[in-house]
Formats: sequence, structure tokens, C-alpha cells
Amino acid sequence: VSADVLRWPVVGRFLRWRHARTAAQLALLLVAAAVVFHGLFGPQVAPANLATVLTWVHYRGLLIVAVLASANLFCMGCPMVLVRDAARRVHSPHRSWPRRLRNKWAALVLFAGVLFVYELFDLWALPRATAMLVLGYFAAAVAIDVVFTGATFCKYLCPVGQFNFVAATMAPLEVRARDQGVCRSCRTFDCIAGSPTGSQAGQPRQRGCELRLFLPLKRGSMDCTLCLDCVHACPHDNAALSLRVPGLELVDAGRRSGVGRLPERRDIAALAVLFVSGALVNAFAMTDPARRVESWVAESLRTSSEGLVLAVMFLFGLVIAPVLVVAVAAAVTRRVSLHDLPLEGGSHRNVGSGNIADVATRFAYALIPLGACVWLAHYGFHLLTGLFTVVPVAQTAAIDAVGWAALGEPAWRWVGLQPGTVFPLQLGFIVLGAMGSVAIASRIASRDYSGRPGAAAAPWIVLVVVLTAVAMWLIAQPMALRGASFAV
Amino acid sequence: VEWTAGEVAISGTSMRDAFTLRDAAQRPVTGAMLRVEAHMDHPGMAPVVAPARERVEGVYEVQMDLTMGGQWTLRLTGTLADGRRVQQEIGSVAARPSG
Repeated sequence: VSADVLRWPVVGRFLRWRHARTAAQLALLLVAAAVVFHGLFGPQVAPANLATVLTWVHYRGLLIVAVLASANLFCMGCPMVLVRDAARRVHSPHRSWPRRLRNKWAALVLFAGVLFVYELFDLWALPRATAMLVLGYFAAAVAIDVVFTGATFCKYLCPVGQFNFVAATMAPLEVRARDQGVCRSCRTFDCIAGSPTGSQAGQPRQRGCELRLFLPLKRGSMDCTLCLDCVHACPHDNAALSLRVPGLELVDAGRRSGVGRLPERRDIAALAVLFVSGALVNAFAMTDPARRVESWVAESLRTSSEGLVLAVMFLFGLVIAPVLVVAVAAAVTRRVSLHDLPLEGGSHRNVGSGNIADVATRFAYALIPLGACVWLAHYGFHLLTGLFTVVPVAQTAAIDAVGWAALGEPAWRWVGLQPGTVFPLQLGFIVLGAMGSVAIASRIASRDYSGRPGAAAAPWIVLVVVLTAVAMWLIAQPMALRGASFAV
Repeated sequence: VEWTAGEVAISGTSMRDAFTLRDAAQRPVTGAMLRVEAHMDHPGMAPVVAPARERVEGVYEVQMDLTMGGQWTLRLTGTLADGRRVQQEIGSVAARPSG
């Protein structure tokens, strides 16, 4: 079997089909239309509405499963890009995204904001609000991308995209050049500039990578939406979708096209930390202990404002606590490694250079495997326990739409696996993630602190163990009271 | 629909309540084939579905076991005697966890 999925018989043939992405986008656009329509006009009962069921059970769950099992498939099939492309036929963008905003900081704030808004408004329980969120998302993507060129919304703003980019570093597939020698002899650079004819004669113009990932220098999956534009644009058929070791790109300190060096990107390192803390906070918010903490914070602040209480909790959970624990781990690593600091070229020196933030930026990526598996354990739980509810909900939607049981009477016995059955799987995912994080931390320590890799990695391994214990405690919480309303 | 359920149920125990079905002229509606679906607020959770049996003219009784604590939304579904379909949210129940 070839390591290049694009050369596989059925899957490869489909992916190389020029309209493969459009087909996937159209399918997800139809789903989005059903979500919006039923959310706005269907019953406002979350478990009986396609908006809430498809968005908060199936979309989230399938997204993380798909990314970790294969690649960034949901960015590939993103229907917002399809709508945006249509809008660009009416209004072409001419502006470049401001240079000072070409980083992940804005997306980081938006990502945290989405998590906060989800909890504040109990979006999982509100079909109409969920539909409005989806519409708002489409509107934002179109509004940004009809003004700014390239994939500005995807690369610098989209919260789901950032989630996918980080998770995709753990995927077993990545797009890369098949043969670097072919790239060295290339003079047209169609993979990034676009091709006047596409990879086959007679085809119309094929755009190059909108996220500015130049194929010969592309390393890993960060910022790759799996659009496969490079595959279709390359006149030498030199782009591959290759099998690889998941997570290993997190150890790669080399310069990446469109990204730079990961150990120097504080914004992406912060995104990695938010990816992990967000996983824990998002899971914690659904538990009974979260209700008790809410009440305690409300009493302490003498407030009945849920927004203020949640803001304090999110500020602590997403910012203060993560910054604190990462800073402590980095400080310990720095202290134990003061006599073994890295130099360019692999040599070492014996005096301190690089502050705590530098050390944290190097090691933050080690937390991604654990974070990905906590998301998988959480969203996978909802997906597996509610997998088949889409059947009775679709049957209900059909009744709502046409007034009779066009798809049969709602079969509410169709639910999914029992929570007790899923629990061992959740534990397994978290242990797997912890092992991945320990392995990545050790590899980073070996890369940057070859004199004392064990000592340099130790604080991060301790941190991973602590976070793993927290994650296990979270998923062991009983389902009782999840979704109950806030009360002071 | 006039729902007579209390606001709090104890999860894990049987909850028995009744509702009255009336038409636009406030006359009791008899002979309907109905069931009550109790849904947790969070989508994807297993609902509790129970048939509603008519005890006296237009008054239907339902017995259901809410399987966990939390907010349950109750939805009435079924068909009237003349074949018309009923699908209506009829209220909510806050269930305390047992124990």
C-alpha cells in the first residue's frame, strides 16, 4: 500500500477529482441549511431539534474523530468557503490582512470567546440561538473574505479552524511534496501562485494555496485546511497526502512555510495551551462541581450575574491557571537546564539565555496530544451516546416540515451507547493522550537540552500527569445535573 | 394542553402526572393516541418516552421514570381521534438526583 493516500484506488481517486472538495462542501452546506431551518422554525426542544443535535452532538464529535483518525477533513469540507467563493464572484477582495494581525492572537480570543458564549447562553439547549450562531459564522466568514485576500478568515480568525489546525498536528496524514528534487527544478511555483490551467490540460485556472503554505517548505499540518489546491495546481503531480507519525511535527523546530518556527511562535504556543485548558474547562462546565464553584464565586462576589461569575471562572480556567502552571514548569526547566542551553547547530553553552516565556514556547506543544484526547473523550462521549438520535430527530423534523410522518414515527429508542460503555474508551483516550504528551515533551527536551533531557522534561511530565488526573476526574463525574440552570 | 405536573421530580422514581387536552372552544378532546417525551436539555441524551392514557374525558395520565437529575422538557406527541397530528411542548420538570 502506498504511503500516499492520493494514490489509493477509491479514496485517492475521489480526492484527486477536481470537484471533490465542492462535493464535500455541498454536503455540509445542506446539513448547515437543515440546521438553520430547523433551528429557526422547528421545536425549541434541544434534543428534538436538528440544530442542536447535529451541531453539538454530531458535528463536534465527528470533527475531532475525523481529524485524529485521518486529517483536517472538516476544514476541507467547510461550506463557508463555498459561500465565500460565491460571494467573491460578486465582490473580489483587494486588501491584505494587516501585517500586525498576521498571527493567532485574535483567533485565540475568538476561540476563548466561543467557549465562553457557549456556556453563558447554554447554546446546547437553544436551537434558535444555535441556528443564529451558524448564520453569524457564515456572515463573518463572507464579510472578512470579500474584503481581504487569501484565506484570511481561515488562517487568522476562525476559531473552529484554529481548533482543527492544532488537532491536525495529531493526525496521521499530511500534505507534503512527494519529491523535493522535483520542487527544486520547478520554476512556476503553481502550488502557491496558482496554475493557469490546473494539473490537467484544458482545465480552468486553479488557485494555489490561499494560506500561503509553499509546498516545498511546508512541514506539518499547522494552517493546512486540506483544500488540496496544491494537489490540483501542481503541474508535476508532486503533492502527496502522506501517512506519518501523529504528533511528531510538534518536535520539528525547522522553519515552515507560512508559519515559521514553532518554538518561536508564542501565539501558536498560547493556542496550544488554550487548546488544552479549553478542553478541561469545557468538560468541567458540564459537571455538578462546576455548579458548586459557580455558587461559591457568586457568593464571594456578592453577585447574581451569571455572566460575571462565568467570566471570572473562564478567566481563571483559560488564562490565569494555565499561564501559572506553564510558567512554573518552564521556570523549573530553565533552572535545572541553566548549564545546558541550546545553540544553533546543535551545540550547547553553559550560561543562561532565553527567558521563561521562551522555554514555555518550546514545550507548550507537548500538551497538544493530551488536549486532543480530552476533547475526543468529551465530544466522543456525546457522539457515541447520542449517535443515533439523529434518526428520531430527523423523523420529527420531517413531521414538522410536511405534517405527516414522512420518515416514519420518531424512533426514540434509537439513542446510542450506554454512558457506562463509553467510559472505558474515554479513559483509554486520555491515557493515550498523556502518553503522547510525555513522549513529545521528552523529544523536545532531547532536541533542546541534550545534556540533561530528563531533568528538562520532568516538570512537563509532572504537569501532564496532573492534567491527566484532572481529566480523569472530570469524565468520572456523574451525568446528573448536566445542563441544569444556574442558580445563586 | 393543561399540564398538572409538579415542578420537581425525584430521578430514579416513578413520576405520575396528568394533563387535560382541550380544543379551541375549551371542550375536552377525547380518544387521542398520545405519548409524552421527556428530553434532557442537552441534545443526544436518551429521552424518556411514555404513553399517555385517557382516564376520564379529555384527561390523560402519564407515568414516567426520569433517569437522571436535571431539567427535563416535556413534549406531547401523537394523533387525535380524527387523525390530526399533535406535537407540542407542554412544560418542563426539574428532577433532583436520587440519594
